[in-house]
Amino acid sequence: MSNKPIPKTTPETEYFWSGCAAGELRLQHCRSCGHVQYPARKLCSGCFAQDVEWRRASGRGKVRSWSVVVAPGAPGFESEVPFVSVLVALDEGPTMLSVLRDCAPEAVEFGQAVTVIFEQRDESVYVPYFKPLIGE
Amino acid sequence: MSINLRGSVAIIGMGETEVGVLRGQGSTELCAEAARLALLDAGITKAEIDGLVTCNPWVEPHLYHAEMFSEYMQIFPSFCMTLNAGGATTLTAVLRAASAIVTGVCETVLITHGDNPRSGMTGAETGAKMTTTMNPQFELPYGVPLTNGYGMAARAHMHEYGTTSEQLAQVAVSARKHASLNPAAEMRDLITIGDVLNSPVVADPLHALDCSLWSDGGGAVIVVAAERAKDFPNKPVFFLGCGEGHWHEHLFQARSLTTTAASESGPRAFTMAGLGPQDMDFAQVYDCFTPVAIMELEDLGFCAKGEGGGFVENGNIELGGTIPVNTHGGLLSHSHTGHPGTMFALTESVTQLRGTGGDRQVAGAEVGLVHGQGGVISSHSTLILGTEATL
Repeated sequence: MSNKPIPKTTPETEYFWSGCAAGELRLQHCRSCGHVQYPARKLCSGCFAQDVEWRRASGRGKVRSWSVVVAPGAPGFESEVPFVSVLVALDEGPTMLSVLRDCAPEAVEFGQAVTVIFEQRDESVYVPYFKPLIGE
Repeated sequence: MSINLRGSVAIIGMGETEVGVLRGQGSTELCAEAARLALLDAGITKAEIDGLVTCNPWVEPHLYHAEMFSEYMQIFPSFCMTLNAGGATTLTAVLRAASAIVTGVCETVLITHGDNPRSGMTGAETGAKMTTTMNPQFELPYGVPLTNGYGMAARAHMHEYGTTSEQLAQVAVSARKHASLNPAAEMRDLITIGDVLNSPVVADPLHALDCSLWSDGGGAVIVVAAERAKDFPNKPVFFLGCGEGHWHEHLFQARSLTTTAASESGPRAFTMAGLGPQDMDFAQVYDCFTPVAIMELEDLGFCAKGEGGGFVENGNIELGGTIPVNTHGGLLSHSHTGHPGTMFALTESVTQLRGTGGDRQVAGAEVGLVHGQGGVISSHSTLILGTEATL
């Protein structure tokens, strides 16, 4: 496919990545204190309880900041520049670094509503991207 | 038990190699050359070094770098440590050195750094190396370079506080003005705000001239107990306070995009020193990108939060201004040698407090601040130094 980097999964994050392959964004919620965390950990980074459960996330969030990439930081992205790197504050709380698709660089706005999409990276790995949430 | 480190140790030697493109010199060699110059400056031999702190260079790394380097130097220390906190490394090293001396672990600490990422690596190798600090699952797969991380932080500051591109550019213009007065600086030709704004956009809103240099070079200092400080040929510079703050490693985990852990490292250092920002005669802040200097000046208390953009205007951070910043030219115009980058802010501070800064000397400088940052606005370390009169 491409020579783009493949996410190097760990035992703690396998369920996140299997969710991406299944078309859903998954986040961990702490049953003890309610904290929502990303990336995944065996324990809650809020209260250290070993009582986190996976839930399907809304996949929605808001643009916290962005910057247009003209010189990619890894191989495989040369044909995609310019693209919009973005920090998305998920509705559930955590922030993700990602890339915003289907939006011209000059059209991005602070607080813009976005929704997750998944792009295939290799046979079994899908990577979460975002696109503008329109019409809701 | 709490030990106050204020005034406990002093820097009695310093060395700086040339900076820029140093073809044919490896990073271990630069580390050793900086050490040799610092020993000469201190008037001591390598046999007197019983503490060693290094940082891992990019071009000739070694997992146990300080041990490797002590072998290279044929010194046999009782305190030997490799530190990796990016641009915060140098100042955390000074704090470790002070702690080791005060607790009797060793007496004479050499802190030496050197690297040659400019001429010792290809552009592709540099890019690949930079990505090794990124999260391999949640950052690296997007192909977003570190520079755009700083771009996102800059944009957030501009949005939240109204900071302008012209104000970012002013940081680079002032740094270049100081570098023009420093024969050791890599880039010495004056630039204007227009030059910065007309340079290519590399990670919007950052232009090429908002970004630091990429250089070869090395620097070193030697630290001893304060009571020994007068036994050496050059004017000693005393440790008055140091503080650190560590909030995240990867930008997407940052508690804030616009307020840094300098807001904790600074007050910790000032409290130890019993001083405040208003007492400083100069401030060397970490200027890997222009907006970082603005955020740090705010977080260290030189101006109110959000007012850094206006603060850097009108010569306020230049020689003769409210607080001269990066009197050597900073990472923007003196050099950025990678992990060793902050060493030149430290050696410049020693130079200023010795009063040997030549055309760029801050008149009557008695006390100053030097600040380092590693990662993407991640690790912060603040050091306050003074002359004997400030003890």
